[in-house]
Amino acid sequence: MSTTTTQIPSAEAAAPSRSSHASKRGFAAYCAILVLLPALFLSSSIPIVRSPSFPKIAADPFLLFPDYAFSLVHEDCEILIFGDSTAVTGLDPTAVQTSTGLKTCNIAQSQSVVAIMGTRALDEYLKHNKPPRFLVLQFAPETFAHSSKDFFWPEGLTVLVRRDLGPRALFLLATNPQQAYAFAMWAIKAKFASLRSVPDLEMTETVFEQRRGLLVIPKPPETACYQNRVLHPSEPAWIRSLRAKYSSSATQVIVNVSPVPSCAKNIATISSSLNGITDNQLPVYPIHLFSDLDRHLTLEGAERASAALARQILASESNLQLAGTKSSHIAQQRQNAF
Amino acid sequence: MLFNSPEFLFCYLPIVLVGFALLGRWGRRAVVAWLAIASLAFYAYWRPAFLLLLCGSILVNYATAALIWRNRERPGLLKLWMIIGIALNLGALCFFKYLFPFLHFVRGAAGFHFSVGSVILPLGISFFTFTQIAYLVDLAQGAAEPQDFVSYVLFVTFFPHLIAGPILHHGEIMPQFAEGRDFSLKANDVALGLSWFVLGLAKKVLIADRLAPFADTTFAHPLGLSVVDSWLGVLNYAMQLYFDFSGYSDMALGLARMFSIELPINFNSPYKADNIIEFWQRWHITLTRYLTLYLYNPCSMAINRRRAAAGKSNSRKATKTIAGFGELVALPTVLTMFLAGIWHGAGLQFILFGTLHGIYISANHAWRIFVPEKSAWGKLFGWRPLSLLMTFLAVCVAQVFFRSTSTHDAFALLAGMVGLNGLGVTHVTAASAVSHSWLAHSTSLARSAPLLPSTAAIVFLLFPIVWFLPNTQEILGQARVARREIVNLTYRIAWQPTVFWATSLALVFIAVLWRMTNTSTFLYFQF
Repeated sequence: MSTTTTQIPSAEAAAPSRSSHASKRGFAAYCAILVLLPALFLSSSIPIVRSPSFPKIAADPFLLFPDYAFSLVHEDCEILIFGDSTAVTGLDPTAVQTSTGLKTCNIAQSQSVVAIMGTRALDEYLKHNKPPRFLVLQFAPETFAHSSKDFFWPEGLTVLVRRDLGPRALFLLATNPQQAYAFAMWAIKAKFASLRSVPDLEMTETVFEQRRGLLVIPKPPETACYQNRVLHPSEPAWIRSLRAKYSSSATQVIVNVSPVPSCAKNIATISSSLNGITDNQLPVYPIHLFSDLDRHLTLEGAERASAALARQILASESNLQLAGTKSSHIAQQRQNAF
Repeated sequence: MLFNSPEFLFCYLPIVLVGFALLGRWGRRAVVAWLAIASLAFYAYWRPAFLLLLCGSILVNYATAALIWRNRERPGLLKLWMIIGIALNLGALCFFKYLFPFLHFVRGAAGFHFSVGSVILPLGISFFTFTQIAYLVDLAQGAAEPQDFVSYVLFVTFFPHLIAGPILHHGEIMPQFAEGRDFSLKANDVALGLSWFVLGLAKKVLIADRLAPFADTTFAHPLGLSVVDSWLGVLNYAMQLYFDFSGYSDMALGLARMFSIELPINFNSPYKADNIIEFWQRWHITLTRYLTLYLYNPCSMAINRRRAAAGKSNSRKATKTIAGFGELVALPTVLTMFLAGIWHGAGLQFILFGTLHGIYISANHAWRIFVPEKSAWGKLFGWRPLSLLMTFLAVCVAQVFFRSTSTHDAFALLAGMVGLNGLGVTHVTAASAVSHSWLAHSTSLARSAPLLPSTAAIVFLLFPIVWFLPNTQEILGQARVARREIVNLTYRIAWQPTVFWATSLALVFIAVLWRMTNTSTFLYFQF
């Protein structure tokens, strides 16, 4: 084989037609095609996410009913549950209603939705419904560190793009390019994957519809803790602001922390970090009551947590009644004195 | 910031290009200042604290350069300032790159148990240090001229080359920032630069990153590997390194070209080399040039002077004696490559890597000098397929030291390669890729799965590409010389700014976006 080297022409000479004939406009058109096609490809994620079929193809149980929390009008629930994924998977409104006799709704969403959309779903609900007697805000210990960005962005961005695609959404996407790109690719890949097969989440759908907002993750019970949970410092100011915003003479706000498995390594740390912030003690459940990520409960786990919430509400209500009786008794005495 | 990250692709690069286009109307100063600020921001994005180190290094070097220039008529002071400048640069480099590994080594060797601490290696420290040393030396030797401060900052920090080269020579970059040229965004350069960048990105994301899991796992667990396992791992790494570095170099050149700046070619199909000398003329070309200019030549000259003083000849004839060859060729070569090995990192394995290449190059020179081309041996090893294969295998063996975390691991892998652990079948495992689905996200972020030989054997499909096809600069018409057999093919597939090329590269870009979800760093960033 010859080892001879030869002079090869420069870029211009190698393609003589290029520099002499291709105009500036031609080069600009070349650049436009090269940039715009990939840009269009990424942008296609927005119509995909906004399409009605997306919740079915996203392969994410938390996105099966992304509009449910915004759709309740004139339901006028007496107990309203709001919070992160631990509330939507851990609190069964039908069970709480049976135990308390109070109409109960669960409009909780995943942590990512809470982080990105804030209390938008709750505010929408309150606009179209009477204020509840009890507003239960339940979060996982991680969610109490509200400003932490350690969450699965696509769920929150999906709800944002579906509900609120405006300047705020575009600003958020532009200022978080890593997450925006991952979200776009996640949506596009989900669409492509759905062309082969659509994930079967029928059981989750059925339970959600029957129990009006309880989401069951289609996984078997866990047998061991496998995650070392990263715990950021809780933000009491955020919780205080929630209490202040939603407490009223008509509504009592209850802030709860969701259960953790007994095999978790940092129970004491989690518990002490939430002292004085939550209305319940950190519940510790056996691992077999969890099905996912050491924080989402099985149906059995959800029933146990719901029963605990019902007891907490009944106790609260009797305290309220007691306080009400006392205050009316004092008022009566004052009236008699005059 | 990585070239293959969404932040760079979707935010940084568009902003810098738009800024360049807008400020071009205000002339050179505005554009140079903009690119300098953008380059510093590029560096600060990684770890803002280290911007202080970079700025400190620039300030110290710029001040030293001013002192050298001021004393250009006084050789004694000039030399003193040059030595001080070099010492300060090497001092900082030694502190961040070599001190703590050395202390760890001493502690281990002496059996001490105290903690010696550690320090984070600032990105690109070797590159910006060497660039500045070369400038000081050339300035002292009258081969460079002083620059205004902003131009100097840009020369050192220009973001396409800042982290992993090419190592720029002031002579080839300063004139491009000089007064009198047009600083507007030119569509033809943007088109060429974008194409170059996309091809480089594709090499990195679509090829190098796909080879990484097998190579990483092989080098992480080198003990007891069979011949098949170890060779597959080594070949995967050889191709990973090739496409990673080639991809980075293409991206760097493409990015610079978008601003109508031409950086030197740094990577020219090194696996097409049929001898080790040619390999180093094709692999990390600017490093080879640097080593030749600032290490080999001074070292060789010093030896020549010493021999001349001793009354010995330095002629070509002298190199044909064993003693002459040893002193005039082998010694400076091995010494230079020994230092090149240290440049790559602190660790005995890097010293062995460099020394091994020094021995290879010396053997190559010896072959040329002592074995006649027309002899039977000369003809046999002059047969290109054989010499190509031998060169590649020699490079692979040296890369075992280059990639291993210790010499112990390197020798363990070499033992596997020569069959000391049997033929065997592949049992290497690696972290499985994280799928896009929710289920994968929530359950198996770091699950191990066996890598089948068929997965790793994909590496063999890459040999025709690296051996027989034109490289990126040849396709883009930016290469100066190429082998004759490549030229004909290059003409047929030469890049043109046509709709076909634009659409094809856009599709390649889309394929890159599809695969790029886990951003990975470049292998040469560690140096």
